[in-house]
Amino acid sequence: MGVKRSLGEVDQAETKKSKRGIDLLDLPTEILYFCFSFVEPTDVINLSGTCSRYRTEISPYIFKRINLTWMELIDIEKTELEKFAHKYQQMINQVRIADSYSNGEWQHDIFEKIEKYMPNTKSLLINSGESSYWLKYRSSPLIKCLSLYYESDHLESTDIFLKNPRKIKHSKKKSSLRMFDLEHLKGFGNLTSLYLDQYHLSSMSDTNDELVQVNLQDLKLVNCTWEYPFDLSQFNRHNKLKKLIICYTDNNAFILSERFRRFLDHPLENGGSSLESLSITFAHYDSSWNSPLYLRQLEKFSPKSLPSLHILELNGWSIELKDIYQYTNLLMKFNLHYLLFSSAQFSKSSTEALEEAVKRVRDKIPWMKLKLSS
Amino acid sequence: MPEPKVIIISSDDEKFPVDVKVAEKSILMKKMIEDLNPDGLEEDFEIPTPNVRSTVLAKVIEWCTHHRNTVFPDDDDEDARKSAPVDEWDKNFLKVDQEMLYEIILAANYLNIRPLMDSGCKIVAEMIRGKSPEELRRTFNIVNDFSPEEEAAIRRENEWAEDR
Repeated sequence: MGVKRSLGEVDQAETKKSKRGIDLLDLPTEILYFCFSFVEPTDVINLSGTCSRYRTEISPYIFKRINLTWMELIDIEKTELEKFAHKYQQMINQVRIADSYSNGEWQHDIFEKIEKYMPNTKSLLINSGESSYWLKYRSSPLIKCLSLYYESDHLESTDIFLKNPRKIKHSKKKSSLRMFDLEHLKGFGNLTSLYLDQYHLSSMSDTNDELVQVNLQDLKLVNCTWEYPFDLSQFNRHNKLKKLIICYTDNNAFILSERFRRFLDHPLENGGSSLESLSITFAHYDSSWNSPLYLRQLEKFSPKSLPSLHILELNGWSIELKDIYQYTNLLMKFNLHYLLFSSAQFSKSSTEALEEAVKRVRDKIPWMKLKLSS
Repeated sequence: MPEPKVIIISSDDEKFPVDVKVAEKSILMKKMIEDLNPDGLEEDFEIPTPNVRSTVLAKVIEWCTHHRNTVFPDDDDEDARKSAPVDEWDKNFLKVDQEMLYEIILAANYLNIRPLMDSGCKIVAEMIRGKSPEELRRTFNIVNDFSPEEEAAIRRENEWAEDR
């Protein structure tokens, strides 16, 4: 009897629910966005175009980050971009300028336009083919994150191109040296995060007198080189740098140079006390180029030089599994919460052997999460 | 004396007696059990779940029972959680109508069962992935209320949305 009644109640509840009908948009926004994080942006863009209810709900997600071209921004008053920017003003948080146009960099102040039409922008990505000197003559209090990258296989906004749009194929690599100097960012006082791709870093100007007021917390350098007297500690004059990512994606001879060795031996020279997270990656390197991770090298990342370091990721170094045991005693003196070693050598070891190594390290250093990947 | 049970009560007042180990798959229930029974369970302990109806609760408990001994990656290991493929058993378990799927996700969110939430959201992602607006309308039962002009305007706006 009791069973029957409860089944009846369930049926009733079922029909009541079905009538109300809950759908995807009844999920709380944060769960909905979590689902979106597993698919491509274009999938979400397509979903936002299905009906007006979905459009309203999903617009904040798809227009949080936008991309546009130099000419659209320069001529914003004449294009539909103005209406668009006005409509989604509150949502636009990141702007990427997708084409590289060095004439525009010198001739037009895009930061004024961004401040006026997209005042919530915090993050700016610029496809820039030349040195960064032009930024010396620009300023913006809005920008917290700046990314300077280069992609020439995108449609290039050259003057010829503007009259005659076509896709121009170039190699991705820039042959001429693109110079970057921290002094170029003196107009960006609120900058905390910087990403540089394929620049040659220098400090030609005498910035010591006139301290550049940039308090970087986050720095990512991809395929960047530098030479004497520059060293990376110049990015950390105010000792605010928390996260440093250095990555080389091809056989870049710079990693064999004296300057890079100097960095490995003295990371951030003597001013690395703020650094919490360090990642050094050599991706797609010939095995003959791989530099072995010696105990001596690991010591350079010890609390003596980097006292706040909690996260360390070393990708593409040459590490033998047996060495891990040798490192354990040293690592016990570190304050690491997370350590990643990724090395092609590990592929020679079985999954069981890797798990055994992780377990043995955990027994000795329970506060540290070790990850080994090949 | 038999082990004391946790009695989970659905919104429609159905009672589900389960082992502590099963109930503890829900971080919310685990905390309640620990906070209110600091010396361990001495008698049956009732937990009402006023947001979860019995058919959904039955499914959630089925999941917790199946995974009572499963070790999941830490909740704070975002990378491991995100990259892990959906467990085969979960995939079959979540072959339910959409409404039930959303209700399971909502229940998992409320009860704080991260691995079930993750599986559910990944299944939703599968339903979205790689589809045209028209295919998405069919999947999610959406009626297109745009005029052709509005659709053209949307396509223009979408050009500015970051696609990477």
